[in-house]
Amino acid sequence: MKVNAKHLLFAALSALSLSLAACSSEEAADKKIDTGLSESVINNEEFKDKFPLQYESYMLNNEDTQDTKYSGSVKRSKYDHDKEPYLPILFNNYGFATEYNEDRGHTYAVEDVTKVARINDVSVGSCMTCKSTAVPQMIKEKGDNYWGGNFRKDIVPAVEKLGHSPIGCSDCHNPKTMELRITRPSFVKAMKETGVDVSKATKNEMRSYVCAQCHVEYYFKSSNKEVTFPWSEGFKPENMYKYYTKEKEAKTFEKDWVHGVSGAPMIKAQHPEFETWIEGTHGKNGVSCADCHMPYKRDNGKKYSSHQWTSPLKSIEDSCRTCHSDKTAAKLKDRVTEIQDTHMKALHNAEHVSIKAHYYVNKMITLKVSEAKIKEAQELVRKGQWFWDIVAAENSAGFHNPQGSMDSLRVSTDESNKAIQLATEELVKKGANLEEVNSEIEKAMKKVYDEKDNFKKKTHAVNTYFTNQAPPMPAPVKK
Amino acid sequence: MGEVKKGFERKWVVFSVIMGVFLGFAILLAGQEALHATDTGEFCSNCHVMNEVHDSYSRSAHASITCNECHIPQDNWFNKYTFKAKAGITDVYYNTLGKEDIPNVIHPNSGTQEVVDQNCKTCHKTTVSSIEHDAKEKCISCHRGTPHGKGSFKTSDFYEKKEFEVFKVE
Repeated sequence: MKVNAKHLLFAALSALSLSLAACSSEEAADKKIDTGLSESVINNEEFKDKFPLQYESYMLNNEDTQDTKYSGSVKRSKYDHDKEPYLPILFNNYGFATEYNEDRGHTYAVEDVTKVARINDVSVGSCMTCKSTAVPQMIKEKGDNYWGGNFRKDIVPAVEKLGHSPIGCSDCHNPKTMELRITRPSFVKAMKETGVDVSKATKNEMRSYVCAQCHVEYYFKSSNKEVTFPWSEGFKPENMYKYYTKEKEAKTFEKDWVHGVSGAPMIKAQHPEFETWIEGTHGKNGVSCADCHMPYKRDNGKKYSSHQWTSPLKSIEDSCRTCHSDKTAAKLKDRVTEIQDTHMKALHNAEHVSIKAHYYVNKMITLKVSEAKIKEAQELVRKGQWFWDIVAAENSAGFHNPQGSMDSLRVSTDESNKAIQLATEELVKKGANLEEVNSEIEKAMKKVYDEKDNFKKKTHAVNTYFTNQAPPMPAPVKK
Repeated sequence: MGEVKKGFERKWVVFSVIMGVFLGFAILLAGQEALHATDTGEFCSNCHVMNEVHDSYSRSAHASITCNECHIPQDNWFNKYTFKAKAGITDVYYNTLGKEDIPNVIHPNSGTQEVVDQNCKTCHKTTVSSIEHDAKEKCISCHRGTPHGKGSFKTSDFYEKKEFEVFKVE
């Protein structure tokens, strides 16, 4: 074999790298960063040239065509037949019965929140909280005038004027040092109520805390519409329900809306990924959000965290097989599918029982059963719905906490069935034709299912047999 | 004239032989030292890809032995050094000309897995021969924490409490 230039180069490189390896002892992880940017930067593009790999991966959040069996990052209606086709009944008289889509990448956050039909002329500023990089500044400058300000008239123009970006770099990183940081006060306050001071955390914890600023259940406090997390009793569905029960009894927060079918005072659950994860296997074992959802990748030898937040099923090798290397990717995917299939079946069942409960209470009202019994049944309906909604609103289809989710669905079915039982006793006393009631429920459900226009589905939930039980919405209070 | 030349030559011969033996010893010793040094955790951990495994190893019950006491064949001189040379050259290739080819997640190949498994059994010969150990195929099928396990897969800096910037609330 003739020795050519490439061989010599290789030999030289070998010798060089060997000697470098033997002599060097630097730890790159300890190097401090100074980007030269101001700490008040909120525009994502300012980071593009300094962190090209991370930025490029962040821009992959624009990818919205690759779907997964459940949840996913493709903007399809949640009313689609393969998702949850009866939501227009279950959220009747609330925005979520009008339009409710599967969320897509963080880069679409501002566009999707401003365009969704749930936002109207009386929507408040709080709605922008988890969508825009201008929010921390807005909260500091406007305080209560941010939370309670008018979304369309005050907040949208203000954030656009500030040159904001959709959820991005400055929401989690200090623009100068790139250290992880918390920018949403609601998270700080809520963790304090659980006894945790988040200013003293580990890197491992921060890799979940930055996500927990938004991927949580919340409500708008009645007094000033401030985004608040219901955590003082704990993170489990039953803990949060206890919190809301206390608020209801103290008359400080009674409900999110009145249900059109059952007239029950309802709570809407929102995306409790953090609360679900923390009580599940991976959370309890210190596997942070970023470990799976921001897996480390390599580009020409450079290690970086992927900033494309999507289903880890799209990156099983990088997300799962770092730790679960004894299993093949196919086997891991099968296991996830098994968990999610079981979960979704149970969820659909809980929703079905909940639908029946709403309609039975509706019949109690129209047949003039006693107020006391109606209120009792409505409380059971409210509770039953909470325990399936806190699971349905979560985006892992059970994976973040399979057993905890199944337990919640068990309670949901239990409570909804109690409502049905109570209603049945009263309806029988009133001489109702239960066969007719059940067939009318089926009819209404079918009409909702078959309706092709998503915006019109909710109109089939109430009809001449099951009349609307929600009082007319009060005129918006002018500020 | 010829006699002076002969004496001169002999002095040089003796000198060369003594120097040669001395140099030979020195090279042999240096070589041995180098061979040993390139077995140790101190050497291997100079590459960042080894951070997590070095961290977990140094906190394990096997911290007192070198990396290569597990990771290269220990049965005979020839196997030992051909395996070591091949592995070393592969590592150098990937970290220089072949950077693009490094996968995101690095797994031990079947060669390494076989070598490590055999080394467990050799050192722990007494235990393995006196207690039934035929339930699974590999030692690490059960002994998963040894020595890179203990479940964390992260370096200790992930678990140090630090001060972080947080939105100030009353």
